[in-house]
Amino acid sequence: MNIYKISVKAFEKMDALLFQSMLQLVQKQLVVPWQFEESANIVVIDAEQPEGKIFWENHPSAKITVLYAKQNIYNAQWFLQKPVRVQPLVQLLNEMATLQTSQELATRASPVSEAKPTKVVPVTNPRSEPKVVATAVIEKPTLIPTISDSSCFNPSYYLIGLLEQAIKTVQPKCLMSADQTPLYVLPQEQRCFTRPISKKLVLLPKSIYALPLEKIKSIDLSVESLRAEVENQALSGYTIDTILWLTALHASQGRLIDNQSKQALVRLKQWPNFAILPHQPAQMNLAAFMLKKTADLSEVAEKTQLPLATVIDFFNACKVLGLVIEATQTETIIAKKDLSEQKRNLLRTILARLRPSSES
Amino acid sequence: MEKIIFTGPMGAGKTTAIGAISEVPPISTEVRCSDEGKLRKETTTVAMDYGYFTLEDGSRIHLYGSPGQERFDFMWNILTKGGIGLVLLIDNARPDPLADLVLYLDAFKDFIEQTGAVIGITRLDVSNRVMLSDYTDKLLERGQIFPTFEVDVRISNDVKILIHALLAILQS
Repeated sequence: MNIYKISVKAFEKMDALLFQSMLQLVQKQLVVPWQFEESANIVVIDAEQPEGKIFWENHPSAKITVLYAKQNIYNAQWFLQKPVRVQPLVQLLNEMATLQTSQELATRASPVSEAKPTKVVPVTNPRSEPKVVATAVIEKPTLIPTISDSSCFNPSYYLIGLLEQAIKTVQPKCLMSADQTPLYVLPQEQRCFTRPISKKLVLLPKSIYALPLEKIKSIDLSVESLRAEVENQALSGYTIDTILWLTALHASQGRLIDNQSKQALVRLKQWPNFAILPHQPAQMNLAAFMLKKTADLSEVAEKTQLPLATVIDFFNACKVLGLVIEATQTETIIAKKDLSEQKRNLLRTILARLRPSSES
Repeated sequence: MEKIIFTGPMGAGKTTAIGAISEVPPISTEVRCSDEGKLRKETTTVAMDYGYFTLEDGSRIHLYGSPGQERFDFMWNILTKGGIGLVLLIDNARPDPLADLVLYLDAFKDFIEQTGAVIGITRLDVSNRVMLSDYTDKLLERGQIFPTFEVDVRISNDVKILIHALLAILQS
């Protein structure tokens, strides 16, 4: 596992000591180990000090800088509010680690030219302007892989990464993308709140579920302010599973989930709860097939006569919800029933008649 | 005659589920409860519920709800003859819903083996002593896999999802 290194610049002596002690203190809450070093590529700069201000304005581009100040006066990509506190520090380091890992993977997979972030979006909630404790907001990624340069689907590069983080830190969050209804996450209740979601799955390429991490603004909220927002906007509640499911289906785009072989024999261990998971009729058929026998995904596509990309997206969503079992050999779990063509036609006609509507 | 059977304990929502997708209000043979059920419902179905919907070619799919009380179980075999499949509704707020699940799966064992079944768990919002995962665990323990969803049978879409899953397993 990588160890991430961080240093401080222009800190007052007491602040520097406090930062180092706190870094030790929060290690157990971090997704990767972080180490303090005098000279590291990631530098936290006290830009309220003259020396820090100069460094901030002239720092070498190879350094990743974090603004340390009372306010985010430079609209910085990475910001840590003064005085340093445990939760914001944990959140900042975990978000940086997630993005750093993404960079490394991208660099390994295909060399990407380094680009400076373009415009930085100010973090504000148009309705109530909740307090921002530490937020990573980048409109354009520096080295984050884009959908086109990654052949695998890594859930943590998308909304799922932020949801997992919210659950891990038990931190309520408001997650936003441009022009879209915010998604409020209340990990204490394993619930999310947003505008009503249609039960009939409609894949929207620009929805928050399809966006990579760097396009999503994350704002920490208190439980009380989150509840107030949910009430003010009359938002509907959903299980976190519903949001994980939607994200996997939107973001997969035919790419198999990381560390999964296309040749592996798989089956479902139980039915996805379609009463709460938005779905398309084809996914009901996929579930029925994948519960009956183990098969690799190509066979599933062939037998269900569905495009492989559709099968992969569905498989990824089931995998994210922990519904998948891998097997070592082909096995029929439920024997296929022989149905006459007349009976099959009847079932198809009933299906057409009772097609669930898109009501939420 | 093509028919879909709805079963489950008293109060699980069989009459309501049929009403949610039937073209006519369900025809029920209900009487006032005289036993322990009186505490939960004023009336209960003693013979069957009936509803239907019409297909494009004009043929009807009949919807039958079995009486919920076990003492009417002699009706269950009669009702299921020629049925397409079984919709089992379990009321999660009853004292032992997992025992109810087992009882009905055993009672309709032959019919389920010949056709298929789907399970709708109702009133999970009223009682969460037993979770959806407890039902799937119980089924796995018995070596059975059925579509099992949390449903609100007052919502026609939820009932349609049950039927859709039932048809999906019959077709696959």
